[in-house]
Order: sequence, then structure tokens, then C-alpha cells
Amino acid sequence: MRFVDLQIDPAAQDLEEVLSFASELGYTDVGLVLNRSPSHEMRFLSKNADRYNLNLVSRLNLFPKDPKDLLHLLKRYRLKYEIIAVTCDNFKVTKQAAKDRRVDLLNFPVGARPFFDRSTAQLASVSNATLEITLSDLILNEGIQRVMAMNKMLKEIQTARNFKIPIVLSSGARDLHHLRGPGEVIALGSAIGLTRKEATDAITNSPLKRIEKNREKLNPDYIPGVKLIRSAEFAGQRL
Amino acid sequence: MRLYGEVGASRTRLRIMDMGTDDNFAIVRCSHKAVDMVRAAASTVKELDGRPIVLYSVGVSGTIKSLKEKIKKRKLP
Repeated sequence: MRFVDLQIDPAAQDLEEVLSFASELGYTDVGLVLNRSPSHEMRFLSKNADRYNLNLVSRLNLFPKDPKDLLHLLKRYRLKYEIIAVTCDNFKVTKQAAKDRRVDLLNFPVGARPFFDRSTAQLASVSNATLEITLSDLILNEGIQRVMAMNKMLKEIQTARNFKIPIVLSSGARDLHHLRGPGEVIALGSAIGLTRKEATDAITNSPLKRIEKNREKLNPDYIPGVKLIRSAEFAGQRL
Repeated sequence: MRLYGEVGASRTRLRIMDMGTDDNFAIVRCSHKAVDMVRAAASTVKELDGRPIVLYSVGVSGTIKSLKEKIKKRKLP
């Protein structure tokens, strides 16, 4: 089984250590949060992908200040990254992100006011966006803050379930000590209201489908609405 | 709130069976119904004696004998 952690955001000097630990924990695919000038990281990705036995996925986190800024950022970066996540920390940005098909993941920070409500879920169900739950909010917080985080996650999961929105569980690891194994992530998913099957899907099928779909779209040969099943020869010429 | 945490913990029937200090592992026994609960709780442990740690499960098994075989097969860090 392929396990995916779509959000690993380590400092550059810890990158190798974190990737080797992720591989040891049993992950096969890892989403690396890259900066907006990804030349250094991109080179690293292409060079070292096989070294850790990991399939590395480029990811960009967007923090737009208003919907116009979001549209500008999406236009600029959509074709450069395999996964685009939007941090929804104001209402207007949340609505715009939920209805834009170019957005892959919607992330709702624990302290922020907007949350994944019914109207956002309705928009997201049309645009096929995915709800991302970041487990570092659960692991790093304690006491009342953890209770609040769990409460928010429970509500968001229930809303996503009602509108059949796919859910992705990711660690949000900033260093090696924030990483958790797939078994632990599934157990934490169960603690915040997911069934075991849903929690397993949230680190296997849901992120994998999203990655594969986006890779297909980023392929230079991609034509919208056309799927190449096999190539054929016509009058001696390869089509 | 702490009381309810303790009630939950008592229902897991949690016991530490073996502690391999050199190999950085422990064998923990619990009710089969509480495996996910124990795993989730273990994953929220962030430090031990002021040192940052990561707790993760190498394997889950119905008997300690087969669990030890699993641990032997897997190269621990």
C-alpha cells in the first residue's frame, strides 16, 4: 500500500534527515512545501527522488490577502507545482478558493475565524477541492488548545462527509520530530471522527488521485478533454 | 477533563511488557479494541526527559511471540 504525507515543510538543512525518516516510517510519497522561487529545491527534488525510495511531490502553500491576490497567484504558479494548497484565513479568500478548480487543498488554520462550513463545502463539492487536516495542530497543541483543534476538526470532517468532499490527512511536519507513521496518522484520524476506512483513504487514495490527476495535467502533451490511450501508426507515420 | 482521560486510559488495559532501552523500543500490551486509542495517544508524546522524541509503532500483533519476530525482522534505527 502507498502512504502519502502531502505536507512536509522542513528547513533546508533538515531536509535529507526528514526525508529518510519519512521513508523509514513507511511513506512512499511525500509532498514537499517549496518556496515561490523553487529553483534550488526543484533541483534537489529531481536529483534525490530515488535516493530515499520516495516519490517527491512539489507543493506550494498560498496565503493570499484577498481574492484578487489569490487569482493572481494561481495564474502565476498553477503550472509550476503539482499541489497547490490555500490557507483560508479570511472569508472572501475562502469562498474564492473553494470555487476555483485550480486549488487542490483547502487548509483551515486552527486559530482563524473562517471554518469549513456548509456554503464553503457546497462550492468545494463543485470544484472538486479537497479538505486538508493538518495533524501538527493536534500533536503540538496541548490542553484547551488541543480540545479546540479537535472540536474544529470534528465539525469540518462532518461537513466534508455530508457533501462527499475528499479529506487528506497530512503531518505539516516542520522537523523530524513532527513526523508520525501512517498507522499513527490513521489512529489520530479515528480520534477526530473519521472511520478507519476514511482515515486510510485520507493518506492513500485521496492524495494519490489528486497527485496523479495533476501530474497528467502538468504533462506538456496534455490536451484538456482528451486522453491518449495508445499511439498508433498511420501510413507509416507514428501519430 | 483529566478524570475522563484517566477513565479512557483504564479501559485500554495498558501495560508495558518489555523495554529495550538500547534498541529504543518498548512492547506495550493493550485491549485489542483500544489499539487505535493507544496509537493516537502515543503519537502525541513529544518529549521524554526534555529530549524531543517520536513514538511510532513497528507492529501490532495478537501474541507477544509473533510481535518479537516482527521486531527482529525489522531493522530498528
